Amino acid sequence: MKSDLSGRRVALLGQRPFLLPALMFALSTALSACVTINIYFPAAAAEKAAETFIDDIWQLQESPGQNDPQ
Amino acid sequence: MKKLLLITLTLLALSLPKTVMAQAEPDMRVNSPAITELREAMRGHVAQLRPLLESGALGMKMDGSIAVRDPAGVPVAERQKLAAVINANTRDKAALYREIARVNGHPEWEQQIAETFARTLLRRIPAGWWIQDNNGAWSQKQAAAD
Repeated sequence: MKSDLSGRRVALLGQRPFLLPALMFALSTALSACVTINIYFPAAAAEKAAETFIDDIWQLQESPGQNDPQ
Repeated sequence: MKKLLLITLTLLALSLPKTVMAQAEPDMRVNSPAITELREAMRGHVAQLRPLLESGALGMKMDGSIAVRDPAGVPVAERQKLAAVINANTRDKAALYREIARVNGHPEWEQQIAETFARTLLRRIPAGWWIQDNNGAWSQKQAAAD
């Protein structure tokens, strides 16, 4: 029973040659995604940071038609 | 058993990018000792520039920096001091964007941060303030039509 199982293990990669390429593809996808993240600029986060900073400095209201409270 | 292991590994590898991406858009950090100093300095600039922006003597360029629109609107005795404030403000803004890029671990983001801040500032100033386009032409900001 035990030897049968290990025999199946050895045969696994031979019987399914697509498994190794599939695994390599998955890994390369994962790695390339990481590289993409490094050059990605977080526009939404930057805009939020800009709004918070500018409101703090300038005390401006965005609502149109409303004069500056100062 | 081995097949199960391979499938698990494959699924894990495929889900990895999503995990990393989910963590890739945290808030942008806008705090450091240098930023606190710049913030204080810029509050001081704003206090001096605001009345002249409201009167129309000053306006903003598309990059968010301050420019003199009507020199006659500034008392002669104050012109030199005003020029110094404008220069300091421009210099501090550049330093701020560089510092934000640095504390977020991406010095190469400096230009995009500068553009984002300029765009946000121009959107948030009140209607009636003057804006100079890239050709040098001045126009008053219109009230947002929404």
